[in-house]
Amino acid sequence: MKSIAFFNNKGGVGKTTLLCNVAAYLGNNLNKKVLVIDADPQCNATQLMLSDEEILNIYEDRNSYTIHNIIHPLSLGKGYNEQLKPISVPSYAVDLICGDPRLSLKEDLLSKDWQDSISGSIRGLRTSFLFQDVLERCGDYDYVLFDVGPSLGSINRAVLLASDYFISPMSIDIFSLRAIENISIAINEWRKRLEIGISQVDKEELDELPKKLNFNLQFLGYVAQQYTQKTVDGESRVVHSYERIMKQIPKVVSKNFVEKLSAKKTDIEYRLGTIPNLHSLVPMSQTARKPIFLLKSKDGVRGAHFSKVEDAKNLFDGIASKIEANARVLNA
Amino acid sequence: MIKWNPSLIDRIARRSVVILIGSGVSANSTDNNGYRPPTWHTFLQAAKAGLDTAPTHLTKAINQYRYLEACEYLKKIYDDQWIDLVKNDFQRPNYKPADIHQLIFDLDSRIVCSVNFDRIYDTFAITKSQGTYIVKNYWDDDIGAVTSGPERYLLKLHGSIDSPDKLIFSTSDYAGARNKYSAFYGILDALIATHSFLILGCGMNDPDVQLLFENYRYRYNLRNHFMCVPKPINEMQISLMKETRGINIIPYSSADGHIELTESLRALVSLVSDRRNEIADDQSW
Repeated sequence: MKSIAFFNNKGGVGKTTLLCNVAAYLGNNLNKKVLVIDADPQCNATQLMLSDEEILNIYEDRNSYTIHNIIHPLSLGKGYNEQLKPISVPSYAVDLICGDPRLSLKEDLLSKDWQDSISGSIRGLRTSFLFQDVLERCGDYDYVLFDVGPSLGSINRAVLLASDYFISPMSIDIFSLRAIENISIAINEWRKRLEIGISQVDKEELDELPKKLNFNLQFLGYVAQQYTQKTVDGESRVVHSYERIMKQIPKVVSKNFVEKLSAKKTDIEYRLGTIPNLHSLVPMSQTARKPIFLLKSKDGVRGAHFSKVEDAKNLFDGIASKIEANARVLNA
Repeated sequence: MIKWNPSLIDRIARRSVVILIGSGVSANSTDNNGYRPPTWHTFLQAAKAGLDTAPTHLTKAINQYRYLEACEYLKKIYDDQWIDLVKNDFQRPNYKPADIHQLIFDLDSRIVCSVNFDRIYDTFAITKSQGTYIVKNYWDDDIGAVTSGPERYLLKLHGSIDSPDKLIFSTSDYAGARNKYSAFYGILDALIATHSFLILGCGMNDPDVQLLFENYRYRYNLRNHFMCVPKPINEMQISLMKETRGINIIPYSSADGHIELTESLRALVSLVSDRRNEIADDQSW
């Protein structure tokens, strides 16, 4: 089982679209068992994959199982919740642990317990490693994918602590470049402090924690989002200002992510793909509650958009294949 | 590379252009043996070569580009062998689509007209569109549907190899069809009057274009149509086509198997896509 967080410090980068379509491609076309955990309090992945009726049924019932069920017992001073209850999403061929806006309320708990963690508190560490405990109960899956919000806050820290890898969807603007530096600094700081905290814990108390306690997050790759293009001399070309930034991405990624966060490996293609402007296909996908590459005429596809649907399938095939290839190399 | 007219780009983007494809488009395809569908000229030459002796008037008609007349003669000579001859060239080889077919599809015109008998573009478009492309032949009753709605259509102006006895291959065929299926030709005339045509893969001397646009220029006095033609082509021909048919000639190099046309169409697809994005952003459709 591999766990991957789709994470960027900057919002509006197409993260949820990317995650849900990659998950669907792994499930539908590569026959992987995939669990999506919606750890974003905005619940974007949940909203994209479930129908309106399903969403109403789940959220009108206060007893429904959401990500809140995973974390709430910890704030009551109890141990980990014993049973995961994901729901099946046939159209995306994945299982889903639904998001919950109440997750925002747990930011304080996670933040306080993190402070306790790095002081060697067992209760603090238990909370900080809650997602690691979740992952240790996901052995039946090939992939667990986390959708997280665009922040460097407590919730995302807990997710990243547990994940094997993270993928960074990236829009082509200067703010995304600055965000990369932030991520690198934060992750290394967290890693350092956590090692100190764990070293202060008595060995017999470690039994209460998940087995894997090291912070071994590795960078798996990035997906660029293509922006404005103009046709010049018969070729589609990126507008000049975007072109300047695009050229900087590989270097900035290499310096901040690859050199500082990952094992030294050659022959890894960190650029997993480039998402073109998908225009009407994205809202069509949202309305139909289907992956982009499975849209059909009954979902509203007309004319040459059939070619774009096929291009999208090729795109997600490329991204999913590189994810699998990179994970194999990084794991060796 | 062709420098595409901005007005043409805009009209394609707004789906005000009908794309008309001729035998030159099909000539991009090959079968498993590398054989290509014939153009008017190569078909007629091969048919003539199949005769024991070729009548003088047949040879003269071919050499003087009087293709429909030549067809009339050949059809009479071949008699009941004629259909087999046509099938051998247009159906049996199982031609495969080429890049140019994908580019025509991606231009996403609501209506594509084809004067080709083969089913290369038909099969391609139906497959690519998951069966939503609608193919109409000149004899279909419900042709009026093409004038509205979101569906994409392929109009087979001269029929299809699937119905060989209904192929339009001569002057008398054409005159007969125009009279019997007047609704179809009325709509075609209306399309010529209300849309721009982008004509691909037709030669200057191909009868298709001459027949279709014969009445156009004097009735409407517009120069709204565009035709891609391989060089060499002289100024007099360009002038004449514009004045008598209302067609702007776009010359391109025929070198390397007409690669310049294909690559120019690739650029056109991209330019049209840009323009469609602009129209959507401005809501100026």
